[in-house]
Order: sequence, then C-alpha cells, then structure tokens
Amino acid sequence: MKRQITFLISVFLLLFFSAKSQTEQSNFRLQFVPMFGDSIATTSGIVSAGNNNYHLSKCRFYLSNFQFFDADQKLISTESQAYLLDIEDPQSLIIITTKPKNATYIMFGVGIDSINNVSGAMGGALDPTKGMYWSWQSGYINVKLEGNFNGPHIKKFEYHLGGYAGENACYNTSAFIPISDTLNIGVSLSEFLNLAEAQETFKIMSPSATAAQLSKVFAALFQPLNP
Amino acid sequence: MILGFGALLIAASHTWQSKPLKLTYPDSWPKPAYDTARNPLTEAGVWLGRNLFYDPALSKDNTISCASCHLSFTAFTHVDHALSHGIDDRIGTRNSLVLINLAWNKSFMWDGAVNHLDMQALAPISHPDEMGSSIAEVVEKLAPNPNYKMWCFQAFGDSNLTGEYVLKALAQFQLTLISANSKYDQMQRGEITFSAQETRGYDLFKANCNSCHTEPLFTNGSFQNNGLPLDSLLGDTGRMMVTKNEADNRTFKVPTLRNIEFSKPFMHDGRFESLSQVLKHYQSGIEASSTLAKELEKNIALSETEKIDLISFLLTLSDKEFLFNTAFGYPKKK
Repeated sequence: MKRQITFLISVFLLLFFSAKSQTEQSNFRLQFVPMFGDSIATTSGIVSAGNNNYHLSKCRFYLSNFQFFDADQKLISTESQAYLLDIEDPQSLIIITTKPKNATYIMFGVGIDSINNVSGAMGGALDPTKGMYWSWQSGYINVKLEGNFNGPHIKKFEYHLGGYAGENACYNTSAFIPISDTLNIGVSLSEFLNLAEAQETFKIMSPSATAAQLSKVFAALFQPLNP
Repeated sequence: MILGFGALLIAASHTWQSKPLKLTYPDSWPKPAYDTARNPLTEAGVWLGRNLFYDPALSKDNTISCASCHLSFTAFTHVDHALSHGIDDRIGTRNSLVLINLAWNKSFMWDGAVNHLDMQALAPISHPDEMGSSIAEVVEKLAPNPNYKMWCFQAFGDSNLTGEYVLKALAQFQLTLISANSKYDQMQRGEITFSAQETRGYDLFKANCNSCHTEPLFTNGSFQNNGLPLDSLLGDTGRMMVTKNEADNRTFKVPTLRNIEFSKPFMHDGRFESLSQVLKHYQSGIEASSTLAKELEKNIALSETEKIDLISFLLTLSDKEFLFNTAFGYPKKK
C-alpha cells in the first residue's frame, strides 16, 4: 500500500515537472517590417521598388491569435490578444510576448476573427476609438492601406479590408514561420499593391468578395527576413 | 509584496463595485439575446449610460443627444418626424426606431447592419446627418470631465473613459428599457380581462399579424418586404444595401408593436401618420414583388368594424409605466 502511494506520488511529481517544463516560457520579440521590394516602407516621401514608385500615407493592420508550434508543427499554445500595428508608430511594429521553450514555429491571424466581430464592445487595441471599426455596419477593418501609385501609373489607392461573415470573411492566418530568438518578419506591401494594381482594384471600403480575396493575399505577405 | 498587491487589488475592486442589476422580465418570455455576462449591469453602469444618452456632447456641435430622436415619452422614437433630423437640421433617410426590449434584438437598425447593441451607437454618433462626430472625438471630449471620470470609475473600476466603456454603458442603460406591463401583459397574467372589442381585436391579430409581429415581443426579428411601394426619392432598398443580395431587396426589420399608440409615424420612412392608414395599407395598398412576404400575398380583408377592433387591441400594448418611468428620463444630479 505504502509502496503504491509512493509510486503514485512519484508519478504525479513526474507529470507535474514534465508539464512545467513544457510550459516553461521565455520572452520573445517579434519585429514587423513593412517593405517595398528591398526597401523599408515609410510614409515619408516616395519609395521605389523595381520599376514602380509608391507613396504610402497609411498602413495599419491587426494581428491576433498568436500560436506556437513544436518541431512537428503540433500546437503548443495560443495567445488570443489582438495587436494593432501602425507604420507611423514604430513601437507598435514590435510585439514582445512569451513563447513556450520548445516552440519551433509561429503562426498568427491577420485581422480579427469572426467571434470577436460579433461580441460587442471591447477595449485595448480593439477599442472602436482606434478608427479600425466601421460605424455604419458592424465589423472591424482588418487592414487600412492608403496612398498613391507614383509611376509609371499615377493612381490613388485606398484599401479598407474587413468583413467577417460567410464568403466575405477576411480573417486569415499567416504561413508557418520558423522561430529564431528574435524574429524579423517582412510585410511585402509592394507585392500586394502590384497585384491589386494588376487587377485594377484601387478602392475597397466595405466587405466584398474582392476584399476577401485581397485579404488572403495580404496574409501571405508575412515572411521572415534574412538577418 | 505580490500578495500585498493582490490584497490591495481585491480591496479596490470592492470599493468601486456598484450594485449589480438584473434584467427583470416575465417568466414566460424567451431568454434575452444580449449576453450580460460580457457586460454585467450595475447601477453605476446604467447611470453612466443614462447620462451619455442625454448628453448632446455626443454630437459634433453639442446640439443633439440620443434622446433628441429617442424620447422616453414617445416609446423612445422621434414622434411627429417621418425622417429623423440631426445636426444642422439635416434630415436622415429613415424614421428612428423605438428603443424597447432591445435585450431580445439579434440585430439592429431597419436593415440589420449592426450586429450587437454595444456597437449600435457608433452609427448615429458617426453619421453626418445625425450626430456627425466619431467615438474617438466623443471620448476625447468627455474623458477629462470630472463627473464622467467618477461615474466611469464607479461603473468599471477605471476612471479613464474609453470607447469600450461609453458603448457598454450606453448598452446597459438601453437594456433596462423593458416594456412588459401593458394592458396586454396584465391580461396575460390574469390581472385584468379584455373588453369584448379588445378580445375580438386580439383574435384578428392572432389570425393576421402574429406570424411576423410575434408575441410576446411583437416582432420575430426577421426582415420582410411588407409591400410598401418604393419611395423613388429615397430609393431605399433596405437590407439589400447591407447584404447586396437581391432576395433582400426592400426588406426591413419587423418592428415591435409595443407602445405603438405613441410611436407614430409608422414604417421605415414614416410614411403613415395613423394606425388606420397602416391597416389600410395591409387591406389594399400592398404592392406585389418578388421579395414580398409570403403572408402578404393576399390582402388582409378587414371590415370597418374589424379595423376598429384590431386597433383597440393594438392600444392594449401601451405601457404607461414604461413610458413615464422617471428612471428612464433626463438624469437629475444625484
């Protein structure tokens, strides 16, 4: 009997410590870098990439539901917080969070998922005072990208991507991204703009099939930068 | 040290927590659609919301409050105004809806564009023909106000007014606007009996109206085309403007009939001034179209006496206790 108890206790202790080591966490810094080709995107002046020139006046987007995976791409943990990244607020492009020690990959949501779109008022990054919520119709604006194509085409662009219902749902997840201690993730805005320009979409202000399609494109822009 | 801080937090949370409120409604009613677990009602929260509701600072030029178009005495709608008006005397395109039993609403506005009571206030605050402001501007304007700082602290344990708190407090106040004590309700509870005329009217109602204006809320929350000819000036296609789906062309939210005696004019554009005009529409004014509600494919046949009987029933939906409840009126200083 005594032996059995000792055995049970040691099993519990073992389980306790192995669980603990699994959830052991360390600080983790993610830096997001909006890019035009090989240049860092800014809102001051005109940036060239390839044969194209751009002027960016606004670039804001939501990231949420950061998920960590182990080497077998098995989910370890999810952090449900949402972050609003704004190119004009460099601090907002840095996300410091904790990661499980054995995390090998990260994946995150680009935009706000449907449950958070139908659950009423929320605070922090999701407070509607942040200007990323439609007023005439419920729903978060996942991405605001505004500016001009400054040659060879001259054209204004204004993309407000959002919508959570049915076919117009605009929430997507990023690719699996391998983790290093500090991770820089590029967001290739020129890739997005060139594609939108090629399909002659210059303005999106409400949920639609095109908004959903371009949201998929936007979510695929997030790729680790070579150090 | 950490323990001490925890204890301090607990102590602090006790001092600000104001008295919780429970929504009270008849046992026979369905469960509310609004999830109060995410926004628990408290006396302080409702008080903050009531002050916001009556505060013209919510509009760009400080002239229009929520109550400007949603008056308590008139079932919280803009009486005598077919189309509600906002700042600079601008006229909107729709008749303001009544604010009654909103806890049971699954969607908001005539076209259901808003999916949650919390978020509803954003539309009038931002609309250029209504309050012409923005939630960010409202918060910036009100946050330094010492009264709001105190009320916000009492309501949410945080003196920094945010968009979230403004919207949640407004929702809390509006959730308390429950009308469940009309003559109809008293009859249902067996406290009184209907007159012979009201009984005849109730039978007519159940036979002709109840499928959409379903008891006990007197709406089933659906969107229907009730055969109103399109106003070519307004060109309002209703829910189709939101869904972009042809099947929703000219469909509008079925409004509650509670307190209808006090909420004229009627319909989404306020085109009818009286209940007899409304009934006349259902008798002979229905315009056929591909999206017309099935129930209205045949005109509703009513004799003149039956019309009067039906109206006498509709008047039993007036709830004086609700309409003249001082707890819903302009907040006098506590």
